[in-house]
Formats: sequence, C-alpha cells, structure tokens
Amino acid sequence: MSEQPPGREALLEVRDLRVTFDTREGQVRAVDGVDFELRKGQVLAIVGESGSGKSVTALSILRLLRDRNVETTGQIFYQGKDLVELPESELRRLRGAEIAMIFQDPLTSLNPLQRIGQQIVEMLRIHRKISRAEARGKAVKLLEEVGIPRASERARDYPHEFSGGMRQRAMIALAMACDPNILIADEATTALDVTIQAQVLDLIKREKEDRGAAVILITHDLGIVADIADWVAVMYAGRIVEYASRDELFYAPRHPYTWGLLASVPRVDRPRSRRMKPIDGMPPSPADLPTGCRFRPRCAHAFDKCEAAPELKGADRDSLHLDACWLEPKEKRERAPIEADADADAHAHAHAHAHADGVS
Amino acid sequence: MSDPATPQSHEAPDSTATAEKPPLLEVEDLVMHFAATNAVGSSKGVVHAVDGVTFSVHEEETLAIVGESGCGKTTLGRCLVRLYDPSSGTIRFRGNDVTHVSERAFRPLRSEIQMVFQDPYSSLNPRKRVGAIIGDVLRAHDACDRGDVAAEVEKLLARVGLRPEHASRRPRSFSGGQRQRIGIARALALRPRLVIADEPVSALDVSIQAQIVNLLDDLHEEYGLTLVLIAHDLGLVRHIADRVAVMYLGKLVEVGTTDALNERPIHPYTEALLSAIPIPDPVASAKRKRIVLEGDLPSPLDPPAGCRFHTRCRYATDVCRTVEPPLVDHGGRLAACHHPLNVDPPSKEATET
Repeated sequence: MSEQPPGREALLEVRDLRVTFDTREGQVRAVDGVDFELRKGQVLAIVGESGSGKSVTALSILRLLRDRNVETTGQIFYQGKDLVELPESELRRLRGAEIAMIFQDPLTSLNPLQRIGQQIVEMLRIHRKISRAEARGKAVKLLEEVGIPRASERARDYPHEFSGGMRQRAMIALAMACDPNILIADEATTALDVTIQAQVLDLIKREKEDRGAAVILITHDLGIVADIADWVAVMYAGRIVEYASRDELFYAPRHPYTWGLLASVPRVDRPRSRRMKPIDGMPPSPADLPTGCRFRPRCAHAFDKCEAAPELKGADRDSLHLDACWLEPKEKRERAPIEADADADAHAHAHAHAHADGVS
Repeated sequence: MSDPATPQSHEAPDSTATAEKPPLLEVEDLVMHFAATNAVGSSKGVVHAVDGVTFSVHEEETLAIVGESGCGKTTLGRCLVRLYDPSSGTIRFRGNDVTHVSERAFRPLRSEIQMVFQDPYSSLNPRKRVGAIIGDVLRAHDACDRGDVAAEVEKLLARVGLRPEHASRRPRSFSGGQRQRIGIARALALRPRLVIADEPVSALDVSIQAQIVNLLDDLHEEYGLTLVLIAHDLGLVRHIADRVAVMYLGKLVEVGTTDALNERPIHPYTEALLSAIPIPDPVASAKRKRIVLEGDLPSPLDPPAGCRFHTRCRYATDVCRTVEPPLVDHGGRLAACHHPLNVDPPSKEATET
C-alpha cells in the first residue's frame, strides 16, 4: 500500500497502525497493521461492522483512546509530525483546530452546562486570535450554515434544548469552527433519521467541496459510502481487507467479505426479493481471532491457502486497488456477485478501462 | 422514481387480497397522550404521541409501521401489547374489544400477543440463564408440562438457530444478533398468533440484520404468524412486509401494499422518506433525486395545525396550513394529503422530473 499516485502530497499518512488493549482476558489487538493515506479534498470511508477496529482507528489519530491499558504503535504523519509520538501539548493545539471530530452522540462533544454559541466562541478564541464579538458573529454564522433556524437566538440555548438532529448539526458547526484540514466523522449520522442524515451528509460534502477539507468517514452504511466517499477501506477484525476507489469497490469488488456486505444491504431502488442475503455466522471476537485469513470461517470461497494470512496488495506494484485474499484475480472477477444495472455495468467498464489505460 | 402510467398502477385494493379472513387486529382512532412535565414536575402540556390512528392487520399478514424517531410508532406498539393504557380509541383482537380490559382478563391473550424488543441488551435479564429466560415464560403460562420445559426450550433455541448448550449460558456471552434470536425464541414460546416487533434489527450489524429479517420471515411462514414490524428503516422491512403504514407526528399519513407504496408514494412525506434512504450504488445514488427535508420534526407537544407535515412539505399550500387532511382511499391505498402524488386521475401534482 506504499504506492500512491505521484505529485499529490498526502495530508495524513497512517503506517502500520496497531492498537492493543490490555484486558482481563489478555491482550486484544483491535487494530492490527492498518495503512492508509488521506489527501486534501478527499473523503475516505472506513467501512466495517462492530469490532472491525474502524472506530478505534479513528480515535487513535487524535490519541483519544485515553485508557492506560492501550498501546498504540506505528506512525500517523500529519504535516511531517508523527501524531503517535507528538507531545500532548502540541497535539492539543491540533485537536479541533486542524483535525476535528464528529461523533455519533453529540452529547459526547457538547458541554451540557454551556450555551451552544458560547462553546463555539470558546473554541474560536482558544485556537484563533479574534475578539469576543468577532467570535460571537462567526458562531452565529456557523450555526446558520448548518441550518439552525433563528441562529442568533438559538445560540443562547443549552444542548438539551436542541433536538437530536439540531445537536448533531451544532456539533458539526463546532467541529468546523476553525476550518480544520481534516474532519473525522465517526458514525456521525448513525443515530439520525434518514431525512436528517441527508442534511448532515450534505454539510459534510460542502466542507469538502467548498474548503477542500479532507474527511475520514467511519460508517457501516454502504449507502452513505456510495453517496459521498472517494476512497473506501473495508475493515474486518482489525485489518483492512480491501482498499479501492469508490467505483471500483462497488463495481469490481474483490474480497469475499466486501461481496457479502454488498449483497446484504437492502436496495430500495430495486424490486424487492422476499429473501435477504446475509453473511453467515458472525464477526470473530477480537480476543479470539481465527488464524490465517480472519474471514475464513464465514467465507464460502475459503480453501487451503487461507490458513495463512493474506497480505493486502494490488494486482501489480502500481495498482491502487488492494485486497487481502488468496483467490486468483480471475476468480475474484468471476465470483463477485455483482448485479448492477446495465448502465452501472457500462460505468464500471469505462472505469476499468480508464484505469488500465491511464493513471500510473 | 415513479411513473403513474405503468400498468401496475391499477392494482386491486389491498383489502381484497385478504378479504376472506376477518382482521386479527383492529385499531380504531387510537389516541395516546402523555402529560409532559418539566424537571420540577409542573405541567408543560400534553404530548400527542399517538393521535387518532386507525388500521387493521389480517391473519398471517405482515404489516410494517414505519416512521422517524418521535413519530409515535413505538408508543403505538406498546399500546397494542398493553404496556400503555391508551387515552382513547379501540383495540380489537379477533373482534373482541381489549382496549381497557383488566390485566387479569388480558392475561390469556398475553400468550397470543407477544413482543420482540429493539434492544437485545436491555430486554434480557442479565442474571438469568437463557434456559430460564425462555423456560419462565413457559412455566408462567403453563404452556407445557413442567417436565418438558427443558426439551421445549431446546426446540425453540434450535428453531431460531441456536444450540442446545446455549440454554445454560447467560445473555452477556452472546452477540447482539444471538441475543435478538433469544428474544425471538422467548416471544415464540407461547405460540402467539400476533408478534409485535419493535425495531428488531436496528441495533444489529448489517450482515446480521439480514439474518434476523430472514428468520422472522421463516417463522411467519412456519407458524402462520401475524407480524407487526415497527421500524425506521423502510429499506429493511420492505423485504418481508405485505403492507406498510407510514407514521408522522402521531398520525398515519399513508398505508398501502409494500410495492405500490415504494414505487409510487402518494404522500409527500413517504416520497421524501424513500428518497433519503441511501442506495449502495454510486451511479444509482448520483442519478437519484434526493428530497432533503428542511428542518426537524415539530414538537409533539405542539403539533402544527392543519396537515402536520406542512412545515416541511415542498407542496404545501394554504389549505394544508389550516385544514387537516383525512386518510382517504385512493384505489385501495390510503393517504392523508391535500396534494396526493401518483394517483389517478392525476391531480394538480406538482411538476417533478
């Protein structure tokens, strides 16, 4: 995964990230050798189920796993600095100002005892040299931008006076206050209703398009990935099992776990079938991982090679589509259960061509 | 997204499909109001959680009640199993009014009406072993001989895809999906006719959600169950629902067969709700016209006058702000809207696509 297109500097570079928790049942490695890069104006989606390590990956970027029983190794480079080693005082200057997080539960980042507008003002005053009045004006503007009605009035409300959707948007306003270079959204829309989720996703898109912010989107919802991601990392049991551009992931997926995920999501735009197609079994406990390929016990395509752990790699050195599976490339093409529409097929085809002819 | 000219638009009214059988469950003008109080206990008014809901469910039918948080769907479900005592209205089970019967008189019905809860973490007693969780239900209702309880529990566990040895474990040693299977086994223990499932899969992982949806469908077939599925996610429930009822701020806004409602929604809220469900396909997702609703759900403490959806509706006119639209029949499908979409004859449908 070290090969990347030339000429564009990565904003964030994660190398061999490993996160181990010391628990009563022994050492649990929640993240086990994760690499990825993030560029300006890009949305990288990290997809996976509970226990896949996607949230732990996100939290470790800003060292938000405060537990004393956590050990993080590897490198996380941001502007030449390794965030894993950076002194806490320096990291504090980055948090919120340059790299900001949006969580699933807004009450984890909003102070319940402080008025919403005041929280944004404080964030601005800590990280930017601006006057109180200026900060107040900017706070109201931010709340307006995220669609809070009568923002100047509502800025005086406490978090509990906002509805769930409004709180989520207020948290986004707070996260955006200092124009961060990187926005990390950890299941930021999971608890929201679909109509509110649509509003929040539009806000995140706007951050990317208008300001060129880079976004790491942690989600389990492939529908959201299709809507907003540029790149996708699929995680399973602590490792990335497939890494691809969004279109490659949806139209030419290579890993059987990705196939299973794609098949198990319902599609409202298709005629319904009475049966859904789940993945059999369940994800392994991080305390008791299978040897070799971790998806092997649930995989319909497993064979003897899978007893050894497959490496995450592409078809050749320059390939940007990586997967960790022992199947032959031909088998991966033929077995992928893609039931795309005709024009989606054409699209994937065109894409595959562009890929073969172009880039590197 | 929809084309009124397709031949399917003239489908039979959904009542004819199951007309031979009388409804198992009939709900008429059901109202559940709660007194809202502030932190010190003084009244803040009345929460109109369920505000005049009428529908019926036929034997062996699967009805999905869909809506966003705060629409009253969970309260409605809880009224149906008598966890709440409705403020007014009628609930009939097999033609008998059970709305206000005493707990004692309702008791025999408990075995016929069961509930599966959303959160498999809080709905199972953590101190009890699975065998006792399910066995207690059998014993309390004398559903089988005392000596047969263990065997019956084993059978139930097998039926929901668990192993006999699981009976001796406590809930904490199970994953979310397995816990939901235990909850379903418990609901099935008394061979109910009607199962109300409140968001049975929303706490589960994607790959597991499909397993549970399929399981519910299998059980529906096998036991001839009548299912009421309460959900916020139309995408999931539509796989197994025969009909869907859409709720908004305490009221039903549309009821129809699943495919008709999905393909040609009548109510603008249904249209918006469908359009907001993400599609896991970049091309299809980009092509689709998404209707982003402005603002939030109004407070059920003070629902808007007229049509409750008018504050967020892009088709709203003056009449919507003043006159509440009744739930009317559009060729077998019900909808409560002054400006219905996708109906014949095409009314003054707002220009779209």
